[in-house]
Amino acid sequence: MDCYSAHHLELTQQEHLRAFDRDLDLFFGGGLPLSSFIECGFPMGREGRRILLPFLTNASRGLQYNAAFVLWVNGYDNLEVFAPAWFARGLAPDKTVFAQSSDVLVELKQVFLNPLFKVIVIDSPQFFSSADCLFLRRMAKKNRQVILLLRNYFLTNKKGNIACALRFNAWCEHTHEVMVLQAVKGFGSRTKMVWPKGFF
Amino acid sequence: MFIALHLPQENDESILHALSTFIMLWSEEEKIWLIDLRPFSSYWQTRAQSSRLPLMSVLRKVLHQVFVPNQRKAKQDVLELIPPFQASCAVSPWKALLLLLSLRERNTKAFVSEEQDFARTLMRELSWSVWWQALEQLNKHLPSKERNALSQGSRRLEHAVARLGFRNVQNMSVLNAPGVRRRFGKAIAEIWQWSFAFSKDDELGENTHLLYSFPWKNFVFNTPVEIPRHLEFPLQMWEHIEPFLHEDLERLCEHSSASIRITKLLWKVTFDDLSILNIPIEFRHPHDLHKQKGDHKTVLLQAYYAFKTLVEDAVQGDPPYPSVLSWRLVLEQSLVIPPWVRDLFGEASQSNADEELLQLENNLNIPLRRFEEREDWLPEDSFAPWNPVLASKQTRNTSYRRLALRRPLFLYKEPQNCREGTHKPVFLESTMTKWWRAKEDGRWQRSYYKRVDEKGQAFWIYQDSTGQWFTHGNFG
Repeated sequence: MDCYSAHHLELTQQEHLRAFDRDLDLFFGGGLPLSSFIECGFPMGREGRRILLPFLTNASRGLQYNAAFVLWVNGYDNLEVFAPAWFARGLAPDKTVFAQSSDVLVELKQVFLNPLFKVIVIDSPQFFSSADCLFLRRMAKKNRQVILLLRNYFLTNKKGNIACALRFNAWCEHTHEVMVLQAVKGFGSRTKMVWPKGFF
Repeated sequence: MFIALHLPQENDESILHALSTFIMLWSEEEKIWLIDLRPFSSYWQTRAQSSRLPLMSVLRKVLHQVFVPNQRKAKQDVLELIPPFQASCAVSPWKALLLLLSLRERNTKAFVSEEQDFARTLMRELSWSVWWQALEQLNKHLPSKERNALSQGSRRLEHAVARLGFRNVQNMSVLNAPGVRRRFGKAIAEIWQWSFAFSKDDELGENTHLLYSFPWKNFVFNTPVEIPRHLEFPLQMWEHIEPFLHEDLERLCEHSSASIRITKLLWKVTFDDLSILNIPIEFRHPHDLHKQKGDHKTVLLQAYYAFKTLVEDAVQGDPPYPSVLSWRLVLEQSLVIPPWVRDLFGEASQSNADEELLQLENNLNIPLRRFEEREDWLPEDSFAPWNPVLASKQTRNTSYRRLALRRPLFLYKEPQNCREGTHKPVFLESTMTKWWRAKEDGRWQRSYYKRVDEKGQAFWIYQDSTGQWFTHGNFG
């Protein structure tokens, strides 16, 4: 048994939503932990969102657990999701639900009280307080969900977030044609990972 | 989608409420009814999906039970090849009516959908006698001014038909709307559009506005249930109003059948300045009031959203707002789902994730949206709102999928003007817009590129045939 297999075996015994990509799953310690609230620094246009699509594909297609609904809440008023590009990257159309809201906790509160969605992504909300983060952490734990909060800026350690189990940044380095994932909180000794861009 | 059907005297018309709230008695003499299924399409589509049947089969099963009530108890799974009724289904009510009248002219019992070959044959061979009969029936629903205009237009059309030698109505499909309008007037042009301008995809889109002029008159079978409330003291805050509203919903349950599924309640609120505000409480999917007896979470949430929005809009400025003195809660729109419909599709026992999603959506004040792919090269037309019936039929073309892989995750709601920029963009694809559509402005060609700006942000931009640059998408 090689190092990866041993580590892999250990990880699969935990409750993680996997990306089914060896390096990505290793970096996340087995995948995105269920019952967790995660903060991501994805400035719009830097293509960091593509990192999440393998996880959403897994949840919506039922590659690991039963196929479940995933929800992407778009906080940009001037942008709308272009669904075919998401489906071409693997997401199941019947299980992928989109909503447009910049005041998520007011307009979609009932969604968070319900365990129907396995993964909820809140993309760049306009109004979001630290109390909201604590509420979502509690709901993620109660409903065994993964809730991701995407920020339209890079995260740093200067301003922390105690509600989040993991915090990381991702972006595409267009000059070198690579995708970069940078750990901010909760990744132990793993700090940075680089993929060839065409990989995702 | 609209259904036109002939319902003989011996059948109970109120049973049509099992299909939709929007029912029109089109011809009392001929016993022809029109049913607007559009507000309840998600309900029937979910029924079709959960029973793994095409939507038409589900509707046929329901209609069969309407027309042959004796078989309800027998729960026949196998339907007769030829249905014992005459009904038709189309995107426009007028087209559904023409199909039905055509069936009646041939004395044929059938349930036809405009997409079927038989329906296409009926339309192709539509006789002028059916057309004039339909116009005569339409005339009865129009106000006198429009009636005169229609009569004049009809006379001109009659002469033209004789002169041009049009043997059947379908010959008129070669004409165009502006031409028909110029020659025969606005009334005939509208009817021409109802007959020929719709295609099966139009339910989702661009021609539905043509139906606004259709003289739809809703048939009211019973006086709607009303629950009055006179408060002993004026109330202002939602927290104080809610318990009384809860009581009224319980009373509404007592006064309504257990078979109803609500789509709209009207809450007529009277304030202490004697102003009246009609607050619609609407549900995206038919809501089972009796299922939430004692709780009424869904209705109270929707009432809260509506109250908050409308009162805040109506009463601008700072408190104190006027207080609520009294109200009437009116059951405005509902489906009446008899037990035999639930037996047919197993609604009572069904509790799948899709139904949970519909229920959850009823509790929200913004919609949740699902999409499906369309095999279309134009980005704006390559996806549409989710339709479970169509989606299960679709096979995906890999070339469209490969095209979508190179496209961005987000589109701007409107393409935005931009400059070429200093960084050289990477060419991705060239495409043509649909130049035959009236709304296209002549800039038919688009060359798409990926441009990364100095901040490292990747945009999807295109240059049109005039050389202008637009930002159309963002790679996320």
